[in-house]
Amino acid sequence: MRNAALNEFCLWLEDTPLSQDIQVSDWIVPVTQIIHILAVATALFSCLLIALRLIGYFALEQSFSSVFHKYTRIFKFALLVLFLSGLVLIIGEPSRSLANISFQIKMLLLLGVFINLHFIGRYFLPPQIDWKTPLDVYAPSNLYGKVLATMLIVLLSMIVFAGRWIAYT
Amino acid sequence: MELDGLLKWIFDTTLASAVRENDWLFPTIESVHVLAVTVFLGSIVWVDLTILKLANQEREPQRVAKELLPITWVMFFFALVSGLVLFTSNAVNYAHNIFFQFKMLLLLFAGLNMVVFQTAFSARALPQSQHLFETTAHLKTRDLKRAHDDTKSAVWSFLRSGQWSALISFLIWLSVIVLGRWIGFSIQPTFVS
Repeated sequence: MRNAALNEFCLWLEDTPLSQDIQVSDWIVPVTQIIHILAVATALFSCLLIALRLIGYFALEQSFSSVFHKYTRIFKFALLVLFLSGLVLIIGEPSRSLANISFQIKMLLLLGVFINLHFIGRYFLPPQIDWKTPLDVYAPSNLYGKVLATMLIVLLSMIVFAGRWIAYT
Repeated sequence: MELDGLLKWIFDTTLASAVRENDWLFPTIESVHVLAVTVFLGSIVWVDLTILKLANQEREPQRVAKELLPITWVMFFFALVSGLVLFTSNAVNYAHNIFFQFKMLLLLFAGLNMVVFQTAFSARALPQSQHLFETTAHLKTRDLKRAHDDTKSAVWSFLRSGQWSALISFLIWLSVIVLGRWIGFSIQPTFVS
């Protein structure tokens, strides 16, 4: 999506003093990108561990709810860092990000991750289920869990792809 | 000169030309590289932090390592292969880039660190790893002499357990990521001879 209003906003943002400062700096963009990548690794890996627990590969001696809550906390923290570092990158190069199709797809995929995590939380955290027992005991839920976990892994991989493609589109 | 000749030969291979000249091949392989590196980094740092008892304290380090190290190795394989393919596309300039050289040096150190840890310390470090800052609690209650002895003992235990190896690994891999990103900002554009 690229329209006149968005282009105008990008041009306005590019001309702001803050954006100009970021543009002329030799180190702000590289340093922010490094922080962004480290946060991506943290967010991606924390979600991956939730997915692996759902699949029945990781931390089976722990309850699903404790794994879910532990890693969503880390995910939320990483998300905050991603948001702040992403904001700096957007202010520095608005046209390269906001008006970029890869960036827009990345944001949609991120929304997909939120929806996916919401469904995982909704269907796999009810207190009536004894999550102290390994997950594979619950065969009916397990298949659904595996589907959601696989979708989560695919979405996260696609986010990394979309993020990298921002530089080329 | 001989090395430059080899690098030029790599640069001129069909694979390198294809990666360099195709509009989508380089970004796609780079995306695979970034994905593999991020998962690799996550898994190895998580094991390191568990061994150091700075995270995941309720779980046995051995168990965490057993679960995550297969992922680490698979991702390392993908990162290595994709990294090699990316290297061919601009071999001469990559090889002459100071950040790339440091990155390769750190990868060598990381490998050596892993070998030393696996052969000499892993059996000791994984089950017996102690909290890195365990002695701070003791300092509040015990007398200075005992606190000094405890600190010495904790440091000695830290060195003997091989937890230092996890700390080195953690620092090396963070540096590898920093250098890896900095290569992108310092590399000369690809030239076609």
